[in-house]
Formats: sequence, structure tokens, C-alpha cells
Amino acid sequence: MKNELINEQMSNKEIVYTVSNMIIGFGILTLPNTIVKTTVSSDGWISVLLGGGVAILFAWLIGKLGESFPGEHYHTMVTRIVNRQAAHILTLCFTLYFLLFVSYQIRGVSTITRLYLFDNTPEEFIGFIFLLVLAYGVAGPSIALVRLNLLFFPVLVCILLAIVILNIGSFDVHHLLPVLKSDFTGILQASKETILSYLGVEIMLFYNIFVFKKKKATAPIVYGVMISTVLYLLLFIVVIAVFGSVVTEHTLYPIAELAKEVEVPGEVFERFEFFFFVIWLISLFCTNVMALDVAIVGVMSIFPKARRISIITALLPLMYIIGLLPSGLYELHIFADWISYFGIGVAWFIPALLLLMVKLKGGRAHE
Amino acid sequence: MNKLIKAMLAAALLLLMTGCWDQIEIEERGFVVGSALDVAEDGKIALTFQIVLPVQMKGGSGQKDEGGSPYINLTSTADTVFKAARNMSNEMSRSPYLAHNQVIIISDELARTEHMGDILDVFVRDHESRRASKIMISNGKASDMLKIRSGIETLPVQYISSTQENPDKSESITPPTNIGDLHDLLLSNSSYALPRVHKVEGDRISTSGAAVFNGRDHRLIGYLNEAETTGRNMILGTVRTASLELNTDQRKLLFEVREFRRMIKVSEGPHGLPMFDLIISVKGVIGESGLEEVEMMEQLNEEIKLKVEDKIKQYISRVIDKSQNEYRSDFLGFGSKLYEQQYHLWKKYGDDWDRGEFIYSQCNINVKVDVKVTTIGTVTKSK
Repeated sequence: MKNELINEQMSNKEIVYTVSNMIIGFGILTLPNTIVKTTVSSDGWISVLLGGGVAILFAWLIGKLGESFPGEHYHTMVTRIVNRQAAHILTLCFTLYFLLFVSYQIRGVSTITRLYLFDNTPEEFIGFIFLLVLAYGVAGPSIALVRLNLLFFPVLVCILLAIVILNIGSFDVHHLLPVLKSDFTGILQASKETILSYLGVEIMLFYNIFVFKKKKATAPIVYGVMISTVLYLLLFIVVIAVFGSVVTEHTLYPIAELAKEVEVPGEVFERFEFFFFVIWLISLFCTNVMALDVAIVGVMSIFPKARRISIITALLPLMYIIGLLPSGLYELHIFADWISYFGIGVAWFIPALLLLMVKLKGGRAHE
Repeated sequence: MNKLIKAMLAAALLLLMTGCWDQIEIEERGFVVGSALDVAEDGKIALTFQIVLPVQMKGGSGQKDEGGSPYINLTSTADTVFKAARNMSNEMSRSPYLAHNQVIIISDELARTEHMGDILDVFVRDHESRRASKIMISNGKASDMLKIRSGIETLPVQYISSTQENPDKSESITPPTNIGDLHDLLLSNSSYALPRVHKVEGDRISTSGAAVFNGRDHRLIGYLNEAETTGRNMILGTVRTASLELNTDQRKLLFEVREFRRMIKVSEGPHGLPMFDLIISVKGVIGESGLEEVEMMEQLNEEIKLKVEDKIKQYISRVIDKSQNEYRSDFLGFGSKLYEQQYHLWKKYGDDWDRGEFIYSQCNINVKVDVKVTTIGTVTKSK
């Protein structure tokens, strides 16, 4: 008898959900705000699509790289393509990137939940609790974390769609006008920002260990990116239609404000944003727990003798401190940008180069 | 050793047992339903909160204190609005909670001297307050408006906000402007008009008319009366129904507008200046007529059309004149139409629109009105 849960194999659906959920994390909250800074009115949708296009290209490359080494993760891939030393260095960079990513998000989560939900609770404390929950999550097996996405991603999509639908009353089509008036450089600049919010696909380089039987993992990865592109596009247009580009530009977290704007017909409840925050936090938990898990797998592949639990205990305080380092919102944004650029380099460009090497060397990968 | 660590970890869990950090019981919140801002002595700002007392709101049974007021008004004075709100906590047992603030009333005196953005910064920025709070300008002290006892609604705030809420009722009420809308206007530096509230005969208020602000320094520069507000609402297209009084050959007719549509087309006119075509189409019925015969009505059809057209044009040209020449501020939204339809012209003139070179005042605005009389009521003859 075949049992899906025991055989540690990721189904196509799981890949799609994992990738989408990984991408739609923290960035969704600020995305519209960064786009309208350099574009006119609603023209930012072009940037969302351009960013999505680039992300799909890299997703395809990452997928292809994974397909060449079924059931193996990044460290083994690099060892096979280059050598062990290179594998150590690249995996370390990758791990570092994910650790910084989680540190940043812990800080971001505490800042935003404090702003909207807990006025008096210190950020340090919220972050600490979030970290503890992450530690608990990551202590279990990886495949269980992947399957969490199957549960929560549909809920996240539902709540986002609910926000869109319940805001229909506040739409003002005039906010979307004029169309196609931005200059090309502005759109490109905004695309640079949108590309950053598509980071997350790279997780599949590690979760490739769960894709050993199938030869075709690329398609679901690309679908995952497409789903997030569509959601981004929808939310961006709705934010502009409700708030107009000027207000969006000066609102820190437009999607959270959009959730606040919701008026449920019949005034059953006024404060819809709580539903959004709850679901969004769960989704962020999934994202972070996977990132942390991958970081741990990365460390374990470099130090095969280390125990999982000791790695967790060593990493957690480190991340907590890194997360607390940026002293204000401004520094936090710079921090986020650095991490994203680092991520694009380490997790998108290097794998692309690796794939190139595989293709150049020919069949060696399949030895 | 191991035991010690375990014990410490277990002890650390005690931290979590303190419960919710931000817990405030609902009974301990002071629900603010309305705020008023006035000028106090020495240029300070007086902030008044209307706070509901839930016990008194309960209808029917319960230990309701007969004759007790369902609300209290608290005033506090400070240099900034934020400080005034903080001071409020010193004077009352419950901390003010702004999430249910429905109305913000600003006195005309304050609006004349202070930048709107400065006054309302707290309300825009604070995460607790909702973007849906409505803003109004009062003639006279704003805090007086919160004292009006209507007898119809339990709270003065409810009375004010529901009187103002439904622009369908009257064409001369400025549609509600909330914090979110105002934020947009403040950021885009455009001129605007806000609803106005003033006292009439004793304990009644009127919300007709509008208070005009210019987008240069966001200060109150003047008022629109009922007719001008009607004109503005027609230009903005917010009119749903309206009743127009017409005089035809010694007879008075009431034309009831049932359908109102307006379209603004922007094109490049003479001298490269923007030109606006305002096209209004109206469908309506004769509401009240002194006419005896239907036949006569049909003969009069053309005349009525002309009269209605004239009447509407009168309303509109009056407010346009006021906007272009007297106040030289575009509170009629032509600028945003220019931005939407002729972006290149907006880029050229946007900075000098209703400031600097006052391009707006030089633009041509053509008005075209199309009237259709659909029915004449349910009877052919009423006497």
C-alpha cells in the first residue's frame, strides 16, 4: 500500500502551494506602496507583470536544475557540478540568506502586529514569542511543514479575495486613470522592487529532496509563481482603485489599510482586519518555518554530525539579535533591501549559472 | 545540570502566564463617537470628545438612570491635538478609544488659521482611528454642535451624521468627506470643499452649504451657499435627485429630477490651454403643477425643457464663476479630470493650476444640458 504521508514525496499541488505561499509573505503588505513611488497612477501593473516574468524565468531555471538532480538538495547538486568546497561555500551563503530573511521577518512581524494589534506589548516580546513558535515548528520533520501550506494557503487566498470583494463598494475607477503615462525608466525602477517580492522560489532547491520520483517539477514551480503574480496584480489594482496612487504612495502598509477599509454589508462586524491579520500571520509562520527549516538543512549538510536540535538552539538567539539590530523603520527597509539583493544573487543567479554549467558539461549530471 | 536547565525553561514559561499585555476590558474603554476642535486662548487647540455611556444607551429594561444623559462631552486644551487627547485621560476614568469616532467637527475659526493637515494629523496617522470618520466645518464653536439635543436620535453625533449622511435627500448637501478622502486631497494639494454644519433656530442644525479650502495652504477661504453647493454637486455628479422650481407664465412648476448624469470631457482648447466640456443629461417629472390640461403640458414641454436647462446652467455658472474668479481655487474637481484625461497638459500646467499662474481661472468651461421630461405624475388633472 502506498501512503502519501509516509513516502515523503511532494505532490504537484504541494509544490504549487509551497512556492506561492513562500512568495506571498511579508512583501505583499508594502508592495503597492513601493511600486507607485516611480509610476504614474495605475501603471504599476506593468511592473508587477515584468517582475513576475523575471521570477517565472528564474523559477523555470531553478526547476530545471532540480530536475537534473532528482531527490537531491542544493549541497549535493553543487558538489556534483563543481566540488565539495564550492558546495560548502554556496550552501553557507544560501543558509545565511535564509537566516537573515527570517530575522528580518521576525522583526517585521513584531513591528506590524504591534502597530495594528498590540499597542502596549513590546516588539521584542512579540518577536520572541514568534521565534519560539518557529522553533517548535522547525523541530518536526520538513515534509510536515511543507504540508502545512496545503492547509493554509487556500485560506490566505480566500481572505485576500474577501478583502477584494468586500471593497468593491469603495472602488473608484477614476483612481486608475490616466493609463500608460509612466516613462519607461520609472516602470523599470518599480520592476526592480517587484522582483524582490517574488523571492521565495529558491526554497525548491532544497525541497528537491522530496521530488525524487517525478521528472517534471518545473511546471508546478512555475505555476506557483504565476499564482502569486495574479494575486499581486489583483491586489495592486484594487489598492489603487480604492485609495488612489497618491494615498497609496504615502501609506506604509496599503494592504492592511485595505483590510481596515472593508465594510461588511449589514454591518455584522466592523473590524475585518483582524481576520486578515490572523491569516496573514499564519501564512508568515509557514513561510518562515520553511525558510528556517531550509537553513537548518543547509547547516546540516555542511556539518553532517551536528544534531538538528543543537543547530536550532544555536541559531535562534543569533537570529533574534540580528532582527533587533535595525533601529527604526528606515533602517529596517534598508536591511530588507540588502537581504533581497543578496538573495537574488545567491539564490537566483548562482543556480542559473550552475544550470548553465550542467548543460555545458553535458550528461555528467546523470552519472 | 540538565534538571537545572529544565527548571529554568519551565520558569521562563511563567512569563507567558501574565495574560494579554494589551488587555482592556470593554467596560473600561471610553468610546469616542465624535470629536470637535476649537481655537482656545493663546492659540491653543481645544479638543472635545463625545463619549457614550453604554448603560444609558440601553433601551427598555436594565438599571437605566432615567433622565441621565447617554453621553458626556469632555474638553481639554493643549498646544497639539495629540497632547489634548492625552490630557483627556487625566480627567476621566476610561481611556478614550477612537475606533468608533464617526464625526470630526472643526470650527471655522480654527480652519481659517491652521493648516488642515496639521489639525487632522493625529486622526490620519493614528492606527486606532478609522478612515471613515467624517469631517465637517462648523460655523461658530464646534463643541456647541456636540451639545445639540435633537430628541430624534439619542446622541448629538448621530443626529449630525445622519442629517448629513444622505445626499439623496437634498441636492444642496455636500457629500460626506471622510479622513481617507481628505488624506488624498491633502497629499495631492488640490482645493476642496467640506460639508458645513451650522445651528439654526435653537436646537436644530443644518448641513446645507459647504466650506471651501484652497490647496495652496489648506485653509478655509470661504463658503458656498445652498445654490452654489447645488451647482457644485451637479458638476461633481453627486446629485441623485433634485427639485427645481420653475416659473412659466405666472405659474409655478416644480421639476423633479429623477435621473442625473454628468460627463466631463477635457480637450486642448485655444492657446494650448485645457478646455472642459461639461455635458449634463437630466430626466425628470413635473412634480407639482398648477396646470389644468394635459394638452397644455405638452405644448409647454419645450418651454419646460428650456427653463430647466436655464436653471441648471444658472446654478453651475454661478459656482464656476465663484471658483474661477472669486476664490481662484479648483474645488470643483476639474484638475483631476485634466489629470485623468489629458495627462500631458496636466504635466505642463499642474503646478500652476490654481496657484502661481492660475491656469485654471483662464480655462474655458462649456456647459451643455440635455433635458427629458418623462411623465407628468400619476394624474392628468388634479382639480
